[in-house]
Amino acid sequence: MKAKAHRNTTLGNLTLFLPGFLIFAIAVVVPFFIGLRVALTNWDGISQTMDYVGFRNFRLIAGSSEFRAALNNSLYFAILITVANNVLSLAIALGLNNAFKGRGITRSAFFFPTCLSTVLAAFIWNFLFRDVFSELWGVKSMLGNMDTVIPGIVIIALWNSVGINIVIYLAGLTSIPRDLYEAAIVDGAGAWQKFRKITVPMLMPAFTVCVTMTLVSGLKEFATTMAATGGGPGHSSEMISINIYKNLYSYYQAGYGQAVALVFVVLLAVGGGLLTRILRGREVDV
Amino acid sequence: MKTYAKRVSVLLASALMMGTFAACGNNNNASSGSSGNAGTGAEASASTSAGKKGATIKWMHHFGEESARDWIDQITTKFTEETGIKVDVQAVGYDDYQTLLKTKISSGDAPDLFDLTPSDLPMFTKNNYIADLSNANFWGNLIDGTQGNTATDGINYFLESREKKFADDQVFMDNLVKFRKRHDFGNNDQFGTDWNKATELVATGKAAMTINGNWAVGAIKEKNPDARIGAFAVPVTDNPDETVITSWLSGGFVVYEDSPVKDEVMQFLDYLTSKESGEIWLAAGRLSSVKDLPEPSDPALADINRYMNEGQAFDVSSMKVDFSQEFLNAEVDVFTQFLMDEITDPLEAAKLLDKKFDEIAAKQAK
Repeated sequence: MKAKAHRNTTLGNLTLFLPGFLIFAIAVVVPFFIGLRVALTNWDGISQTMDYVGFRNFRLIAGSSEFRAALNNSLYFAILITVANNVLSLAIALGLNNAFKGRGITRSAFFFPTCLSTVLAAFIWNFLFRDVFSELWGVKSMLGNMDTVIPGIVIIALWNSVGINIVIYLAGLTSIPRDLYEAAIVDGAGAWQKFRKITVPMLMPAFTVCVTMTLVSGLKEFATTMAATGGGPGHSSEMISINIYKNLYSYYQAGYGQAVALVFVVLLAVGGGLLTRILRGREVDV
Repeated sequence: MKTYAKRVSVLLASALMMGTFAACGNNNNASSGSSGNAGTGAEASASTSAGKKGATIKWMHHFGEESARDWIDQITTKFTEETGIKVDVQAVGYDDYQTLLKTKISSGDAPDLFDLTPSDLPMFTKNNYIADLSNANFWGNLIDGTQGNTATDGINYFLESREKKFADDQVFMDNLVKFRKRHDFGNNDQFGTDWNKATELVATGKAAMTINGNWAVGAIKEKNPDARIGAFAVPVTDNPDETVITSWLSGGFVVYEDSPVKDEVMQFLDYLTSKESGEIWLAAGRLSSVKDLPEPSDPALADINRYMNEGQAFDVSSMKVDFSQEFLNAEVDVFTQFLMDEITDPLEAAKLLDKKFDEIAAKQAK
């Protein structure tokens, strides 16, 4: 009887587990191993045949100034968007956590840009930078200058994605027990002390999620940059993902592009894993 | 913005895009016909077989200009009415075109008719994806010299023949300095100005001129039909006799080798290169390489045509040194840095370009 119940439970678990696993295997695992093979070849992306070249592609990556420049751009963008997104979203969440008239509509207003597609967001901000700000203030488009193009793309990405972190931080803030703040008030703690000693430690799980998610997402950045600048002017906003894309589809260097993608996956896994470990170590259990 | 910047970097002088009717030779370069001998192509070819009524041709393109799309609408409608052969037009954005085309070919869903740039031709030829059109009927419809300039034998001559480094080429560096000086006469935010804004600036008179090709005429007129514009070749020296307009094959139509409707596509290409089609293209404010067309009525196009008729034109396609996209992007990158004063020394720019070209050549070496 017990064995039958156990068998039924296992069967039930497998039934629920298998569809998701199959999709994951087909969409992620299988392409990963195919990509691993392609990275060791000189495939041009359209030929019927490909020749093995060993680790030649990886040696070329090590000596490539274009790869280093794209990696720098990706790191710069990722760090900038992570800091800006989390600071801004936490500040907005703290404000929205207080009761005030019109709080509901205000919350929706901050989340609305997240519902727009990346391409539309890039189009809107391109128009603003190019036509509106230049008419209003006589300033050049941020996207047309090598020094300001990445901060310009950060602004677009921030507007398009800050709503997600706001929601996560709001959920974290509402789950902090009120009696902790009441006890702090009784002890004479000021606003900054309450924030530092209660809010921040209690929000660490949310920090872990938001900071890791934003950093990894920032490192993988593709759509906003592609829609806004295509990696230009010159290569000044070309991220790693765009470099991979160009090698695969424009330069007939699919083998090399695949090798860059593999190197990047390793960097992402290591970086993301390290950050999660550091942040998890600072989480507080109540 | 990126499309405009790319074209400007390639167009270092005023240029003109001929009507883009391309063919691809196979490895035998000699079979593609020679300049001034379009008649040979017509005589040597068999007549095009009539396609099956009810068949469908899949045509994939990336024409963004409204005038070009109007032309496509009109000719495909008329062709279907006359022959019963349908044309399934798949219009994609320029930026997605290459990705989609390669994905479709790899997945067995290749379009029957599509277009390629000269830099893409060698790769597609090598992999036998495109049909040899050397003996096609339609060459007789086009002006002399078109066929010769569209031939390819699949070899990238640039890689084979690069002997001199940019850093050793004083003419290149001197021209780079001139290019930088000319940039100062441009509008306030050139790298923040996209194609749409550029044509709007000229159409509304806020900009006096733009360095571009004949396709700009139609685009400017779309924004302001009453705009009175002309065209002239960009002077590159102090000698007026050396001022010529440059033309080149920026892209052309190719037929998929394994297309199941090849006869129908050839019939469509005959129609595409007909006088009727050329007149529609001309009426859309573009120049065409279809022969025996009337002189364009638009003053700007007439100006360009005059340079061609008087022999004051240089065909860049005749040089047969087609850069691949990667080399072109490296060029754009260095020129952009030089124009933005990120690099101020032309020798430093030339050395950087050499370094990038060497890295790309090492990557492309087999």
